[in-house]
Amino acid sequence: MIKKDIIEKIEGEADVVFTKKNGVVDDIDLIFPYSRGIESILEGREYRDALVIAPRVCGICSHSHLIAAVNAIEDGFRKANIAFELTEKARCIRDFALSCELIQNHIKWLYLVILPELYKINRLEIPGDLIKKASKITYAITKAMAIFTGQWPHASYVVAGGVSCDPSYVEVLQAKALVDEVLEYMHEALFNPKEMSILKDMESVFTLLEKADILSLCMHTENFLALGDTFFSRSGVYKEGILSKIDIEKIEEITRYESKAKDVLYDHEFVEVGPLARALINQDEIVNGIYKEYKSGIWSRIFARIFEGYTLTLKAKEILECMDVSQQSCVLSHHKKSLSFSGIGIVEAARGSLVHEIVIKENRIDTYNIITPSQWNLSRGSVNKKGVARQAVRGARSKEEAYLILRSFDLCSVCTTQ
Amino acid sequence: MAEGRDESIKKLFDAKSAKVNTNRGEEYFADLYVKCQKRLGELKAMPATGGGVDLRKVLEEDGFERRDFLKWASATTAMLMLPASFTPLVAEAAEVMNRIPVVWIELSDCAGNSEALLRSDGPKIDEIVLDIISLEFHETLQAAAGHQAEKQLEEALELFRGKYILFVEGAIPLGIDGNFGTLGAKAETFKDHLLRLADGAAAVVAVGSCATYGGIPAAAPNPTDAVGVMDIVKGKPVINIPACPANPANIVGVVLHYALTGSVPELDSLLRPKFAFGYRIHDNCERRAHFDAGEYVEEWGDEGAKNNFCLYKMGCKGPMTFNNCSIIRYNESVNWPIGVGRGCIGCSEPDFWDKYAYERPMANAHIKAPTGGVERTVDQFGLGLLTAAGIGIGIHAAASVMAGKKNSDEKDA
Amino acid sequence: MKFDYKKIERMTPAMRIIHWANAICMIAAIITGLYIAHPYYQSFIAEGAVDKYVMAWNRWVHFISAIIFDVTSIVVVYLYFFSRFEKPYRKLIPNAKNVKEFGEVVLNLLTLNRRKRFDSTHSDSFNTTYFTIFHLLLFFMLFTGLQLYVHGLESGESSIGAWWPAFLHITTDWTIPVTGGTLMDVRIAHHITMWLIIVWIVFHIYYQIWRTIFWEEGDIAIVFGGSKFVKDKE
Repeated sequence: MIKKDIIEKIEGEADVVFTKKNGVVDDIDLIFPYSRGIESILEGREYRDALVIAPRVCGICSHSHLIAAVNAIEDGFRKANIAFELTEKARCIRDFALSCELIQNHIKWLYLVILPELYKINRLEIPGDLIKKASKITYAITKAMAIFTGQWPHASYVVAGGVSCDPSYVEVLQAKALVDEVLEYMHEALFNPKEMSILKDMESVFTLLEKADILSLCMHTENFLALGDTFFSRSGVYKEGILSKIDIEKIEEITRYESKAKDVLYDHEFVEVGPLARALINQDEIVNGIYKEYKSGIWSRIFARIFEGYTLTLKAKEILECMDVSQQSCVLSHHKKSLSFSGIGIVEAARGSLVHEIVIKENRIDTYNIITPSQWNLSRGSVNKKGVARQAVRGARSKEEAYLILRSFDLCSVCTTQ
Repeated sequence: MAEGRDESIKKLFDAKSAKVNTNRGEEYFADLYVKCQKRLGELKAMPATGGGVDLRKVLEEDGFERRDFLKWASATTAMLMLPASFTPLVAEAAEVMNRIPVVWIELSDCAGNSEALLRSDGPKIDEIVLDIISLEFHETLQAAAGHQAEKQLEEALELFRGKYILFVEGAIPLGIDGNFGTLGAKAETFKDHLLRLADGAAAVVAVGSCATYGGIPAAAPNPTDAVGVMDIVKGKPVINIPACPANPANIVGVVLHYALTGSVPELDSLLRPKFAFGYRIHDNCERRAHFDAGEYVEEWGDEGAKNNFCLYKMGCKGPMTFNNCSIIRYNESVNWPIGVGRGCIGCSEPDFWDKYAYERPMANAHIKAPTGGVERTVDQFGLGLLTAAGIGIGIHAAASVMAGKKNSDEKDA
Repeated sequence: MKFDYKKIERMTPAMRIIHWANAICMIAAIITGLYIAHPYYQSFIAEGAVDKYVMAWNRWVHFISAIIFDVTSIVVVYLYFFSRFEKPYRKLIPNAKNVKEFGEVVLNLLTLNRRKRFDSTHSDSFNTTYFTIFHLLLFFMLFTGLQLYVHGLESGESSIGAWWPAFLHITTDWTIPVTGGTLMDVRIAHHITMWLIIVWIVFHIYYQIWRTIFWEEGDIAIVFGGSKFVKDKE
């Protein structure tokens, strides 16, 4: 019995075709009926244009795309023997802004995606204050971010060799006050810092999952990947409980003709990327404890994401505290001569590892390739070897459960199809 | 394209010039005042369409005082370019905004405008007012998905036929018969979807540069053949709110203006509301004094950058861009791109991806021709032309010296 | 054989004033215009921004020369049709006589003055056409320039009244769609036209000098004294 259905999700849209067997979901097919062709728009332009065009791939994680683009260009510069070292300040500002984007994304996801979905599954009325709760944190944190980035989404304050902004100490204090505001709220509603236990809203996630009996729903082959070495996470592969180093060469992208998204594999395997993968590779004790009990189930994934949001808030505060505003903002003067180089930029974005690959010929973009986090998680695969999300939905007892599983990856079709 | 250009030329002469008329005389505003009062009376008599949220109550719950609200109202009155006497009317209009149903759809987009609208902008009170906007349908915000969402949309369309304002985010891809973007179980193309929804709308608002001009999907080589709303929807009032992302304060402004007067705000030749796009970024820029003084940032992170010098030489496009971000800024007015030392990219102007080369002044723009043709900077072209002329003249002069015949030679001949 | 030289008046004092006013404005507009497009010198004076005013002075000079151009252009248009001295528009009508004369003058230039079969005592149709091209370029500069200028008068007010920006919009808004649809296109068109005018000037000066040397009729004197001399065969 095959039932075709359509799903329209938060952050863009994708069609989902369900295949049911004996009343439970057996397989799904994700189709992205939509594309803008950003990669081909980038080709032929001067490489600096990537810094404004690449963020526009996605309005939800625009800053991650911006950092990925600048990382790719800077990587290329280094490979072309242009020596430079980012100042601590420039790095701090970039990292701070990135953590802000991740925080707002994770919190927004909790209140606007996961909680409403959970209430629906339990046939309970969705509380009306969820949007307000989400906005409380996201307003404050994006405001703190905009102090350095100018605007969010689609900020473009990053330049090769640093940042363009030159904040004063007062502005840093202003940002810190906002981060404190967020932290205070988190300590009220999400985590208790003293006992490291979950509070109100996180508790309701847990009880709702428990009530619906889906705490460990959504398991897959337990392969995880994080490509970026960042201020908050390390790179690595976590395969069947064993942690190993990454090798960029093992990434493989396969074009599929039925859909506008490409499949992406690591070492011939489909892998999960995102906060859970990062926490496992970082060997975070708290997340590891939960993982041992619930494996790659839905609760592990939700917990890892929200907990990452929390730890990043602490990190963001730390960054602001040790920022030295007297340092240089940008160390690289503009190169007048024509450059040819290629580079790879990797960023750990909200949904996982984001890769931008560029080849520049005489200052112009020859090829631009983007691998987005959702591409890793939503890869389709074949009948014998299915993508991560496809494995995870198998066994869902209802459409709602399947939706919830898909959404637990915090998928983003805007990114996936570019 | 040629047809479009002819049309736009015609429009230019039909338009009552691009000037922003802030002072239309007391008589005009007295008339408008009476009209607005009548309109608000009518709205008040109507039932709220959304959840029946009472703005006053919401404000109280959130700890806003009446005074804060009036402060916001007077700032918004100024933004809408109305005299101060209209402040109480604007406040009233905000309270009855939930009588105006809004349908928000996303086409070829990045969800950035929704993000900007819902999560990150405006003076705090704007967001509360946004809660009050009766969003009858919004794909990313609402809890319903799939068939359920489609049903909700159909119901809203039927119930509010002829009354709702349709907000569109994203461009419309026309390539391969519109199949770069399809919606729902019936695989309706974005174009058909837009036309169907626009049919029952009181007005269509294009939010963001993609919906206005095609934006980034329409940048050369325009792989999906994307266009903006005004190229598709004819015979309906279209309001454009370009910028990437569109400033939510302007979105609220448009809805408020509609609530207040029952008509669309005055538009310029690109159908942008003049209250928001009537002024040039350059003229209200905090760094303008440095422009006039000839103090420019020459390199990222140089002394000029530290002193907030003008970004003109770093390729700021403020002098060619009409928008109010230098006044109302972004993210709760906390900052804006030029505030963080990054020039304006001209995101509220048509074709800016291709013509407003980013991070470089015109003098070394290397603008990629939309057709992928010859790429030369203007000055290189000019110097080339001059050199060619010089060479031509040189050859002629040399030849004249060698073989030329002076008129005085005639006598010897 | 002896020649008598006959003095012919070619430019009235008014025309000469216009010529030199234009020439000076042109140089000023090019120098300041290049600075406005891309400020090529940096101000080092360690004074407050308000005291330096470098860009502002450049723009001031640029606009003043533009306004002088405005006025002279209107006068030139008037003179084209109603001058009592000579009516240049007559030389622009493509009738057989003018076309032939145009061809002859071009041939004269190409044959390096080996062939000269036209009457050089008056402004010939080649010369008139060449000057008309200049005036058209200049008109284009004026319209695009005033379009760029009026962007700064958004309020619809100006120091000389609201009629001025309104008038500018009516007369120059067409330049946006004609040049390509954006304000940037107007700017680029304005900039390219500057180069065309520079090229025009270079040839103009060369041609006048060349004529003076080879025709031996003192053409270069026209612009100073107003008259040239042609050989008058007895």
